[in-house]
Amino acid sequence: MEVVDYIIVGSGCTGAMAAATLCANGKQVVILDTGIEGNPTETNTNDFIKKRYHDQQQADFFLGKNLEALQAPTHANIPQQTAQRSFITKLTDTLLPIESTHFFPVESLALGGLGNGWGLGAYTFSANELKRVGLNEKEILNAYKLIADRIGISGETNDDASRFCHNNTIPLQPPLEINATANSLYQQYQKKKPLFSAKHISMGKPSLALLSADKDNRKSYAYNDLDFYSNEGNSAYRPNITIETLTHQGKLVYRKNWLVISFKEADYYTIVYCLNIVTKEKKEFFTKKLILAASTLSTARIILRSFNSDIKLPVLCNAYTYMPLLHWPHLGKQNIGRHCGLAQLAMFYDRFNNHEEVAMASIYNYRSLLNFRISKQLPLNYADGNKLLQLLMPALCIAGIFHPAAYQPQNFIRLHKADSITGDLLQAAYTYLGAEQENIHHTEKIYASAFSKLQCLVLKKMSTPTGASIHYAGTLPFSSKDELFHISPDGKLYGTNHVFIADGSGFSYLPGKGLTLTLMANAHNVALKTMQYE
Amino acid sequence: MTQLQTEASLFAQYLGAEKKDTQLQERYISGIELLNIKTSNKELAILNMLVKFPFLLPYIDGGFALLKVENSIRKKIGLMSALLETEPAFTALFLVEKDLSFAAIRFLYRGSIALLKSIIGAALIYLLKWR
Ligand SMILES: Cc1cc2nc3c(=O)[nH]c(=O)nc-3n(C[C@H](O)[C@H](O)[C@H](O)COP(=O)(O)OP(=O)(O)OC[C@H]3O[C@@H](n4cnc5c(N)ncnc54)[C@H](O)[C@@H]3O)c2cc1C
Repeated sequence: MEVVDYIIVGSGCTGAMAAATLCANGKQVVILDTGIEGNPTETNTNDFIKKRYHDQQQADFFLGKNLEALQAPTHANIPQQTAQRSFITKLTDTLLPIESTHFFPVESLALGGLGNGWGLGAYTFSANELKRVGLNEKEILNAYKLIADRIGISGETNDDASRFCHNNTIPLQPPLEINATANSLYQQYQKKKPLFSAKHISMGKPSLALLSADKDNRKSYAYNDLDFYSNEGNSAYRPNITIETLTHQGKLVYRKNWLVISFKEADYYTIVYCLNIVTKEKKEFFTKKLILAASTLSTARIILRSFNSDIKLPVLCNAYTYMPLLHWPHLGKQNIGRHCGLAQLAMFYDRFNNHEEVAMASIYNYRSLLNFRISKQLPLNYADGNKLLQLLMPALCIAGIFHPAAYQPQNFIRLHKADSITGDLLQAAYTYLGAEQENIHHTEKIYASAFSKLQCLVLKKMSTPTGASIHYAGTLPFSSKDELFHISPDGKLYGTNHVFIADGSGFSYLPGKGLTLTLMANAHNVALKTMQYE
Repeated sequence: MTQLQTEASLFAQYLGAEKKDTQLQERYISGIELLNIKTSNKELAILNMLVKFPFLLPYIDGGFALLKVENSIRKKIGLMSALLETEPAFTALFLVEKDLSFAAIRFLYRGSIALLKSIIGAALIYLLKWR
């Protein structure tokens, strides 16, 4: 029986960061992961425009060999999936079944988890936000610096959004160039700044885990606009980069195909019960310390099974509003130049001017997802619709607004016995009611009016199905009291001696902005603290 | 010509391609299979009518779009449109190579005409009981 020092469950952003920290401290680490991998499509050019004009095989690339991009979406909350990214959610319907009428979380069983698709928006939380989340400000600030240095973040140090994006607390590479349409919005904002500050709105360039300068073996971003299809030169930070580097250096053992079902603590070690997703073999692994980084919902499943409990756990998820915008001065503008499909601008609405209940909007200006996804939604015939879209695409921006989320009594998850591979399924309820719903409407109105000041026509306001933000947390809240189904400030799961949680399960509040940089910073801190339990 | 070839050339021409582009026809036919698009008898009758009177196509297509009717005809035209979009020969129909003048006016004009076609199409669909 081999008892390893550390087992980490999951290879997403949090698992990868916990592993990197432990490996950097010379620890023996094994990652157990389902570890589904994609098959990168062979391509003769990495440039979107060259591909469009010259590649006879581009349909296979853009639509998928089996026309995956034209099939009905496999998931309510990933409407714009590309064939190259379909592996991210593969097998989740059978291995992570969910029962809900209105909560459709996106989960991953892939090597690198949701980090294969994250939009790279890397934002720090303010002191007030961290306090509500339940994290120690000083420790997290130190961890932010280390993580930013590890993954590489580019961003502006001196515009109105800087204090919301990172508050100049992390090392940054220079900001990336923004697309022409985004630049035009940015100029409009600069001209009308006082109008926006009166409404507590700030706009600037986003901070992104995307390199603007070479780093280690990774290359700076080349503006080739294939962000939803490939990761040229590894310019975008994806967790598989960390896993592959550590494995290659011989510091980490990565074991894929293992679905962790539950754990049990013995006197000096913890038994981890697993199922092989290929052979269906059941196997036990043994570890001195177990770190769960399987993502908020998956970790909850493992813990509820381990405690054989059907208790209701709370859950947090940012509400998400989608607003397609038409920046009319850019109708019919040339759009065959350098381009980036990732977030171009970040806007922050700080309602109470205290950086506690901020709702952030990310603004995108897509081109590489092609027009066919939109033409089918227009109330027009395809022939005319295509001609209109040609004019419209350069002017089309999409704003995605994240609303802050606090605990609400009606929102919960619970594990049920059921006829599934794991013998159970997760029941989930999540709705936005009362004051929370009013706040969402209020924020949407404020943003709609702000966009019109930027010469944008708001084409639609789409309140997406619950779960669409892909930000989940809070199932096992941090607590300083020793109570079951809570996590200690060190990340230890109460009721256990050597089980730690490195994902967002403990976060007791979800600010209305990207959470992943904070998830990674917390995972690093949890890894550090596990070492103090030796 | 098979039914699918006939449709393919109808839709190709409607969307701005060559009627006789055999490669496109083949890709269309294999696309229909891959996406498992099934046509009901009623839809087949409508398609045959559109083959006979192709000038009706923009109206009926627009009418279905306006009425949010999810049927195989819209799916088939959508498939052909996506296939054209991913052919180098048609790239210029989807991207803007140089700034276009009076783009806002063109946009409004084209948009209004297209919407009008959708409204007329919707009326026809009701009238002919094609919903
Ligand atoms: C399209 C998209 C855009 C996004 N954009 C942003 C953004 O711009 N900014 C931002 O902050 N966040 C963004 N996010 C959210 C971000 O991706 C997640 O917050 C983050 O990746 C979560 O990391 P994680 O490690 O907690 O979980 P995950 O990434 O879900 O990783 C979980 C890992 O655990 C493994 N696993 C799960 N269950 C088991 C099990 N039972 N046994 C074994 N292994 C298991 C999985 O294989 C996976 O490796 C985005 C997400 C998506 C999908």
